[in-house]
Amino acid sequence: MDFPFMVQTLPRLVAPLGLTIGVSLVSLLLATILGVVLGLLRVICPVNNPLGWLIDGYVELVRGTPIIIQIYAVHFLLPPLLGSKLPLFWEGVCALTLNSVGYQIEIVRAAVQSIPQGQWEAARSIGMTNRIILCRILLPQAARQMIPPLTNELSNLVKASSVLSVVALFELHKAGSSIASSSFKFVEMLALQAILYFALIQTLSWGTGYLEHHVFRYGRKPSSFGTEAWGIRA
Amino acid sequence: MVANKNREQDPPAQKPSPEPGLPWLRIEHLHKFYGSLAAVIDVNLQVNRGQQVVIVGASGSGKSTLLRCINYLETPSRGQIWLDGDPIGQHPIQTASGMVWQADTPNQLARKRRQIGMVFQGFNLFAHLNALDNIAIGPHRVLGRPQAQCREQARALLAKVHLDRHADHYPSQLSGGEQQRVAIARALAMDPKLILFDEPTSALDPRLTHEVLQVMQELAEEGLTMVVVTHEIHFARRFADWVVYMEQGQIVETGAAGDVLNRPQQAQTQRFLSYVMG
Repeated sequence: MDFPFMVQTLPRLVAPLGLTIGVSLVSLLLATILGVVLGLLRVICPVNNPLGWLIDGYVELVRGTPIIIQIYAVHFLLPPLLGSKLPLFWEGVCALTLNSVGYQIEIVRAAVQSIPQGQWEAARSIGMTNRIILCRILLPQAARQMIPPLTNELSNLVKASSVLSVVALFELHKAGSSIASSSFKFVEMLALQAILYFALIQTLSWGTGYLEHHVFRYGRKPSSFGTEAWGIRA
Repeated sequence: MVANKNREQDPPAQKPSPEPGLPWLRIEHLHKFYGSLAAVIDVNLQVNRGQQVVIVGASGSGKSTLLRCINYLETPSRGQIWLDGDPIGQHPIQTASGMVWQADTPNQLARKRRQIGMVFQGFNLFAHLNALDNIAIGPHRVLGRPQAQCREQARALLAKVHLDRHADHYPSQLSGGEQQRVAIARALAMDPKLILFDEPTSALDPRLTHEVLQVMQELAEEGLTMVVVTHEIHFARRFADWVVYMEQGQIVETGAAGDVLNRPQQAQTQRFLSYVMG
């Protein structure tokens, strides 16, 4: 392994890494907003309601098809639909968002449904409407439950962004591959990408761990398992 | 009853009191079926304003279901409930063919539920809010009052349930007895016309039970209308004006607390009380 080459190449990967972070975080933000809205709609949707079928169908579609096909689908189907071509960055955001929403709907649904029935009943008994119950009682509690699966989803999203290289978005993987094919240092470039993805995801999951154990604690003692793993003091 | 008297009133609270003699809470021919299982059968019950009614009976006798039907946490299969002249869960509408009853929409029901507090066996405090905000969130979010005012009122209510020093504690940091007293304060914050208690002490040890019962006794002395499902027979004797004994979904015996608990007339009531009294 040519370590000096790896160190020398690092600066050339900064901008592509930035693009990877940008496309992932913007997608995550949009997908979380859509996922929360659709997930909550799914929870309050009566059985056998067409809206429920639509949401379920979407989830199955996303789960049942490979991300690479979803990316190509956005690449080839979106321009004729919109009548113009999106910038590559936003095309990537669209593909990743559409993919991630499918998973996040299920994350939100599962988290809200895991809140004990007694919380609904207590909220109803003081005259809260469904909207207040969802926004003020269930969602704040579900938020904490959602963090671990959302961290999974975040890491999947960051890694899935590497597939955007197939539509020539110059993100980390595309940049790494192009340097590799011009310098023939394939192993070095793959190792370097692995290190950068790993470091990025570690940083992000440290952040979500902080959210889980500090922001959404609600007076619970942090479990020693979780805090020690994150190196966080109570 | 509640500390802050000069705040804006709910429309329902402004309604004139019913004619004297009309009961505050009226339950007529209430039935609740789960498939072929009849949980509550033809219950008729009247509660006057300021009265404390205790419902006793074995587990599965339908007393909790009856209580949960009063604020429509369970939808009754048949029958009508009136509180202060207001029908709960349905409303009359005028049609071409005369007056018919129509089920309340979820928002109409939510509006009526504000007048009926409920205290649960499992406390059900909002886990993400501290004691103060558990109490303040109802008036703030449901009645739209300013948050500072609601918190001030919540502080007064915490003092009333002897928990003034626990305002910042989250439910997970409170004992069961403390949680239940916060839950009582949460119900009081809506200034309800009636509070339902569903086995409020069944999850508590004797000392914590005592704390909660003491608060309930104080509220009764202030004239709060309460319907209580409990297994605490000794407490019921001191506390209740009226006692209802239920078995298999039906009211078997009802009367003044002293009569039903000390001199039960029905064989079923006598048998049940002999188990409780030992």
